[in-house]
Amino acid sequence: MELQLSDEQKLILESAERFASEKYTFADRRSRVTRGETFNRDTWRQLADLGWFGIGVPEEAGGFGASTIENTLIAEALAKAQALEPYTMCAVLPARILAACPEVECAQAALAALIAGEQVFALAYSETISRGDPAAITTRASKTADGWAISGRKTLVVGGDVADQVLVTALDAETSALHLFLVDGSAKGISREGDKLVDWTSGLDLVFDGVQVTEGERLASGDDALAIIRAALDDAAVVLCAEAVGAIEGAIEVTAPYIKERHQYGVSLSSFQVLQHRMADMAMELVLARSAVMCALHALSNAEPVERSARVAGCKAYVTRIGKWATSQGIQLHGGYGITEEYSVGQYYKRLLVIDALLGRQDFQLGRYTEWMTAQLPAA
Amino acid sequence: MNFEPDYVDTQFREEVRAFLKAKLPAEMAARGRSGFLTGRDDALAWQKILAEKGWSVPHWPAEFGGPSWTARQRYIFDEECYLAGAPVTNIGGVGLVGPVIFTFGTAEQKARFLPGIRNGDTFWVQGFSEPGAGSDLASLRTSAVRDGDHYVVNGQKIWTSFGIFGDWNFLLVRTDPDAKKQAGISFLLLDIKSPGVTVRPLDSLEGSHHLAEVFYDNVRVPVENLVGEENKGWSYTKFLLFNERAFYGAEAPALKRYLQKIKHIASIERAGSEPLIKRPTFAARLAEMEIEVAAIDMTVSRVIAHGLDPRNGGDAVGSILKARGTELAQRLTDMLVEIVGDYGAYHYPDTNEEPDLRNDPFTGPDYAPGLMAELVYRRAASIYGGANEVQRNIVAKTLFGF
Repeated sequence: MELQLSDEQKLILESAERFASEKYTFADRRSRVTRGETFNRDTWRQLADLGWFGIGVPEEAGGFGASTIENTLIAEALAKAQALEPYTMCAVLPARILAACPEVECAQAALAALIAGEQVFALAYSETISRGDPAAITTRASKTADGWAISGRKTLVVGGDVADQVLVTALDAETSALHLFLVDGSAKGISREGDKLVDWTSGLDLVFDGVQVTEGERLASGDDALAIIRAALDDAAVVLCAEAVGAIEGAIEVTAPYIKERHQYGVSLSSFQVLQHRMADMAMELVLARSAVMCALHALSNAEPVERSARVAGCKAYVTRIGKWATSQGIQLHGGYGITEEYSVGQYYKRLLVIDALLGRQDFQLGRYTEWMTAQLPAA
Repeated sequence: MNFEPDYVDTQFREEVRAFLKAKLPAEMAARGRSGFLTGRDDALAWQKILAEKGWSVPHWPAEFGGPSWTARQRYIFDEECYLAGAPVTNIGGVGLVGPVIFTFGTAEQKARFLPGIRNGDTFWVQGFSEPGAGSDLASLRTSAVRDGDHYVVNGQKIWTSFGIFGDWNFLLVRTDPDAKKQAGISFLLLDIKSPGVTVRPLDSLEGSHHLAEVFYDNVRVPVENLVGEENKGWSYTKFLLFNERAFYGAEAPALKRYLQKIKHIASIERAGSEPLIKRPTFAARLAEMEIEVAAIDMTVSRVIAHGLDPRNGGDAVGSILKARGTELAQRLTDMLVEIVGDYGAYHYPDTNEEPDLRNDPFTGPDYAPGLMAELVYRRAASIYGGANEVQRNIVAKTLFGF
């Protein structure tokens, strides 16, 4: 075990920080938001060119090796810079799923296109009844003469507005087994409802109405499919928590100078102990959130699947809770300006609101952890 | 960063476990787990058992009898000791004054005092706080005036932990009344049996006497018992306080013991016909705290492995861990009392402090005595070692320059 960043990891973090701070200036972000642009393909390609999409993907699957640790460093830097491009949800998450299907030809071609940044991928697994559980769905796949027809509604599909290809889950209309498909994003029968997310990033409903896919586009089924999806969701949830860490740090870094410069009653706001203590607490949450991510990374490396998922769930419940609090206090300390789009602090809070919704909310995550924890106890 | 398992650590952990199984007496472990603070008898007896093995001063250098463990090994050792219910050794000696003596003391002081600490012969107590100098420690007024080969000490200390157990007292005194606050302070070692010393136990809320006031009335302390230089005591104190916060502040092993204990008792206690642990609201609250304990534990592990890292709170991490660790300890001990239900409200005498009462009968399950004492004692955790409000000041100043 080595708890400090290696020289290579430091380089990755530094280059991610440098790229993100140059690419995502607040003014530039605002103008994109005003234009309604959730996703920029040129930027996406640049992220790919930096090699960040193949990180965490095994070399034998066409990736660059390394691990989820490196993904978290990149995600943290991007979130701190308030990147709009959904690195975790559209690069890390689909790459994990595609890499777990080495026997499927179209998956391997797709993975190569993903790593190169040539095509954009989205995972459509969540539905209104899922609330984090990928098995809780109603979308159906019915057997046709030469493949399958998919019908149903998927919610909170990040990248759904721009994806070239979509990973979709559906239950077999006959057997109720869960299937995982890779579907062309422009296939007939897919419609998009919704616009974008509250933090101005990509995300909406994809409605499938008898969408035709071939048998060759079925990547996995049954328990195999669920295991692949769950493992990928675990990895992505940890990377998403690293985004939360970046957001907490960003909120702290804009708030500290703000309360120092802002004067009321003839003195700097930072001279008020109640505000000093608030910021001290925010700083404490940052340290603990980062440690919680490391606990989850530890579990990804060492634990069996059940414990791994539980510990990741615990991390997500905790980091989301304290992250929402810490970033909300960034708003509080900015006063009225905090709730405007003209200041960046509120964007961090909104990112936390979206992170909470993605991949299962706090209640679901804490429930998973609790269930595992109590199952570990010896019978009294 | 990587999380590959470290087999050296795993082996070491097993070695510690085997030692504890063989050498930690069951009754001593039961007293250690009770929640009552460790008594003088167990603290010194356990220190002697550890000394026989060469493990009694884990973080001392080898030349003073330390076992030359890595920081990680010391942490594993602490954790296993706690989980096994081992008594807490004399922190005042082993953890606080010992390092000050081997770092700043004379050769004579090292030879005279370190063996007694290492071998469990002497119990050391701290004399820092005064009625008028709490969090603002540097405003202390107890004075020491040079008179030939002695200092003559007059004044009063308060909140001396385990004062009634003390053989020796390390204390801060003002040797230059004209210097600015921190500048005129010296660090003395004082035999508590010296004429003119009076130790008066304080009645703590839970009914025990772990704190004391110490009065000094023309107490003569030989000049050779001055540590380092006269009027430089504050710098040794900062060294000591940093050790206290960084290594003891979070008390992560204690947090883990609380979790272990809550799970154990909540599996036995019934709510109706079901074990309490099966109640979903209860289990979820416990889960939240367990997740936090893991994050604190990881933060401590990061400090142990790499010292002060800007990604881990930098110079403020000691204060961060002290504040958050103690606050979590308060929530966990509160839950411990909650889970014994009605018996959580009962008063039980402190049988660690008063060994004569150990065989007296009591009402309630055998794990009930000590839980409330520990909860009440833990109210002090956010006060001692620098109140948590002061820790927050330090964090804000260190990280943000406020």
